[in-house]
Amino acid sequence: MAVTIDQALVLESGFAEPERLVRDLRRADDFIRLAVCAADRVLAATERARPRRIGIFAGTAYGPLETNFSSLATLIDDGEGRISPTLFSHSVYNVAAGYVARLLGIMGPILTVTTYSWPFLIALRQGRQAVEAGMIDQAVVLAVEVYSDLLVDAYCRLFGVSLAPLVPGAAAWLLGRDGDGPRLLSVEVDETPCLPALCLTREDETWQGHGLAAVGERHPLAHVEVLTRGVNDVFETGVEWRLAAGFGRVCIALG
Amino acid sequence: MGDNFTAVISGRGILCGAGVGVEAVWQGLCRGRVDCAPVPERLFATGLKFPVFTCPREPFPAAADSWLVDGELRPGTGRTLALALAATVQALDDAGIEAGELRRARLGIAIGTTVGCTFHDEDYFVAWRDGREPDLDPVRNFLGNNVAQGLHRLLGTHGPAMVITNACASSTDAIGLAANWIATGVCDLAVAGGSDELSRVALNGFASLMLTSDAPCRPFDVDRQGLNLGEGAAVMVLESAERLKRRAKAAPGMVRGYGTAADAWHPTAPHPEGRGLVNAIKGAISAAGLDCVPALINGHGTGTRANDQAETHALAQLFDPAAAIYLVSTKGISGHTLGAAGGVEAILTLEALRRGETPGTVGCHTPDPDFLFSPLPEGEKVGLASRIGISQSLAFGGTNSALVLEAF
Repeated sequence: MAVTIDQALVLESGFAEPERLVRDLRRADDFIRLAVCAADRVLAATERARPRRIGIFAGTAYGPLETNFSSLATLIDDGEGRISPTLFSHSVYNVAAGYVARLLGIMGPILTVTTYSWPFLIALRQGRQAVEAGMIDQAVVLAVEVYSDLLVDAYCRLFGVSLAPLVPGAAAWLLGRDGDGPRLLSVEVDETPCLPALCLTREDETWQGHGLAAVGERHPLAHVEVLTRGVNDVFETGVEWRLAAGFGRVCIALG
Repeated sequence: MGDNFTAVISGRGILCGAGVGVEAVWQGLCRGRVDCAPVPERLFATGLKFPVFTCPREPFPAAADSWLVDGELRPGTGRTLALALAATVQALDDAGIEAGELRRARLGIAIGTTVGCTFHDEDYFVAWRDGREPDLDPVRNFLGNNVAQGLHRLLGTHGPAMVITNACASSTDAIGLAANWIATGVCDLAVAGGSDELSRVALNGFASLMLTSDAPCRPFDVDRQGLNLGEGAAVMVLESAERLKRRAKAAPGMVRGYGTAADAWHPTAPHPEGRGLVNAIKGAISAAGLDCVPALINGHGTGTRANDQAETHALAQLFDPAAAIYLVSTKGISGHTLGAAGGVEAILTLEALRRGETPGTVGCHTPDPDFLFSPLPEGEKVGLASRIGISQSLAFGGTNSALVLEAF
């Protein structure tokens, strides 16, 4: 049995919510909306397994940070005991994966991992492992970032720039068993200690390997976009991708 | 997992409102010690008087500084990370692993948390919102306090790192996933569990959802009024049986199986019939290849109306209510430690299995007669028929996770 990458997409800015999800997403923030729409789109393009045989593996560096602050603002402005229940429940990091499960009818494992380095790739490693172990037949692997005005301001002040290259967005890959896409042989992620600021700037991050294009800006989703384009351009076997940064290194092998 | 699953638990570390160390917390459980009070001023100022369970003021003892690659804890280390570090060095000591050996190994770190990954410096937020330019140290601290990366940095270790943010199931998932790392050779050793400090936002959030009790919590009781929050950390050291044999070290038990499944139901409420929990337990039992029923189930047992109802409903679908399977909750002595809860409960489950007995549920005086699966109430103590048990967690987002544990 081979674990294959059967679909891979980046949700472009200005995406439209599917009509059938609009009502269910009316109270959702961008973090939830991005995750649900990316997952919906990646699942729509292929035949789905049974609900219990699909898992969700989400990776995020900063989570629903803006909603965290909105939640805190209601506490400060409205007083104790009056924090908005909706905002509070939407400030929990796994809220997006939970929404995906509920709205798309997924009842397998749901996992959210949070790290500043390569959260998507850690989620990808776990999704791959779950498919390979036979726990599930399909894994929806998500990357979602929304940041916040506070973080953007901190970035600019920390590094003396007027614009922070923190681009919100989402990406989704669908892993399956013996599908038509490239085989995902392994994902090895090793993190190493670094200065906290380096997690934010990612200034020394590099990626090398067949089909990986250079991009100008460095931000937590940049490598996901590059790898997604790479997946869709891979027509060879034996491809190895290597990522490196001050906070660690990654090796991805495709067959 | 199944037959090839070989994640042995070689060390345990725990601190919560019931004490520091496995023995102290176990004794607290057996004595029914409930030490909760409104949030102390040293943590944060709040007008809410809901009782909470707290850890020592300085969770990481100076005597443990020799574990740190820099020789001391640097300023700006967050409380969640300090709690995790304290539990980790306890567990490493318990496992008989020394710092040099640890740094040579490929160490996987999987830690669950909720509060620990949020930016909750209120002074910074207020100043920034008012248009001022506050000092950036709180932002640097936020970036430097990812719990798994932070543990690697403080201990001088290397290997996979993963922070699981699956709300209240986070550390159950951390232990299950790290056990899988060991079983599949991803790392030589793993430190797995959870850690969470108390936060004003979380306290207010649970209060606004009307899930907090203004008295000590009463899990599974007919008059239960809600949960008490708590802070804490609990960590297990996991390794393969072969590695443990080479070290000639005895171990208290092993992780036999892990299962997790979504409710696909509601953002904050469990499925009323425990749909996802049933699937999670089935998955864990299947992974464990169990040929007998568990003797003990340490439930999530928060003391909220919805959780306890869903949990007992799920168990009645899986097990014979008349069988010698005892359901307990240990949150009566620890409170709900959120991202640490699964770790705290897994350690107490294993200790009960190891001793072959369990005390009843502290705070449960009259089990709810509507439950289809009845819990063991406070004041009772029973012997366990086998050395296999289940520790299970339910979470916001509809996550349900379960571990099958076996004591040696």
